[in-house]
Amino acid sequence: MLMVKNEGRVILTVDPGLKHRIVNSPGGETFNFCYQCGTCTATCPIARFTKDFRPNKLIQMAKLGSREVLKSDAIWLCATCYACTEICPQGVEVKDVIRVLQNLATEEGIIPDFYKALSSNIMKTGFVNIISASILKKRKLRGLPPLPKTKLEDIERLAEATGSTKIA
Amino acid sequence: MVDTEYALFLGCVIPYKEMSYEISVRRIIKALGIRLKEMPDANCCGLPLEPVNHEMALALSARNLCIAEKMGLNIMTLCNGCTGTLKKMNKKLKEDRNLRKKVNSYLKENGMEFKGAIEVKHLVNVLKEDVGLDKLKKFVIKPLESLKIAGFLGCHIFRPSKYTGEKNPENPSLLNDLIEVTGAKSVHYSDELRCCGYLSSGIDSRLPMLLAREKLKNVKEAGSDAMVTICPSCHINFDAQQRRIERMFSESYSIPVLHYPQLLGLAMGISPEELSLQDLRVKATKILESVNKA
Repeated sequence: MLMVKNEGRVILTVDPGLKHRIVNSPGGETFNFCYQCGTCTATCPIARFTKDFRPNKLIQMAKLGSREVLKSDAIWLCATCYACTEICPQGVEVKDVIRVLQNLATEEGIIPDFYKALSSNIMKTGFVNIISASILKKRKLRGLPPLPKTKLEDIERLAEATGSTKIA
Repeated sequence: MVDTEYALFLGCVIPYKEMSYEISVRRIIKALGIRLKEMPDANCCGLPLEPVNHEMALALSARNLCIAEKMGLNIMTLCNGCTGTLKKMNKKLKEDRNLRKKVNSYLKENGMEFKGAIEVKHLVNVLKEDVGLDKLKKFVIKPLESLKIAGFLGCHIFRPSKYTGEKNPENPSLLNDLIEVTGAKSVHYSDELRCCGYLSSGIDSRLPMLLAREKLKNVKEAGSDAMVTICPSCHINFDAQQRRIERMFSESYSIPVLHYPQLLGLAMGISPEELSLQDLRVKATKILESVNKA
């Protein structure tokens, strides 16, 4: 790990292996094609309203191996709208590269509480929202059929097979 | 060959917060002579888990496809997120042998195997492609000629176009055509293809409100009587959150936000109650008056 300092303060912690991990992750294959034109950021709805989220900057910092980016709150702001991926002139799957950064952060135990809750709900019910008894009652009153009842053993087996058990 | 039966995939948000969407879909589908079969063992499409575990998201997605394959039916989705996720997964698994091998190894423990036998279509794809605009027009007995409607297509139904098959991602006509078939005028407005931001709400709740506010402003400026959505998440952002946005910014919009099946249903002569219009947070009273007057 390389530390870049400015006046004694660490401003960049470089992990030279990060870019390789990204390009070898499913969805990160096009990572290296980025030539920093900034079109993704120009089109991003989140970048429009917050300076903290700049897709092209996140990509460049990731190329430099920045640990700070991996640990940042910013990478979780993506709205997954795919406008960046759609418009990228180099065919970089920008949204997926951001998602790879999120996955790599998760592997190190960095995960917003919100996603911990969603994962836990999926293990409990197969869906991300817990459907209350009052909603079920209302459905019956309005003549709607019963909701799916997911086989939880199936979900557990999938979680084990994909290594997801440690999140929830 | 027109399908008349589909496996209905509800997803996570509709049962949780958008019963009016489900009610209005079932009502118009019935009138169109299409049958919907429930997927009793379905699970989340996987989209919400992508940020934290991509492999699990793939597995969840594929599991739903296997269930529909076993039922021998194409899937009809009602949420853009579910549509984009299941469509993309279906396409990738059909075309990428290595991916298919890997995902089938996850599914094997559950006695499931992806075979690539079905298609995934959003309600609007079913209406436009399987039913067809000409056939739909015949069901329109009360054309909504007095209405100016701003359609919000949303994101995952057409982006990324390389997986969704959208031929014109810069100017998709899907929702505009479906609005015009009801007799209403489809109004174009600034930045209509920009995301509503809903999926960021769990991390920063201000962002989707800022995005929704801008969109409501643009919709109003374009002279629209109402918005129409085809995704429950987008709908929550514009309907349930509208009053909160108005208070936060001291602005007033009063733009009713209908689910597309509610709009089509009105044009088909179905009563507002049967279409669950009373459940909308921003009341559609004005536009209902104008529809009744005509």
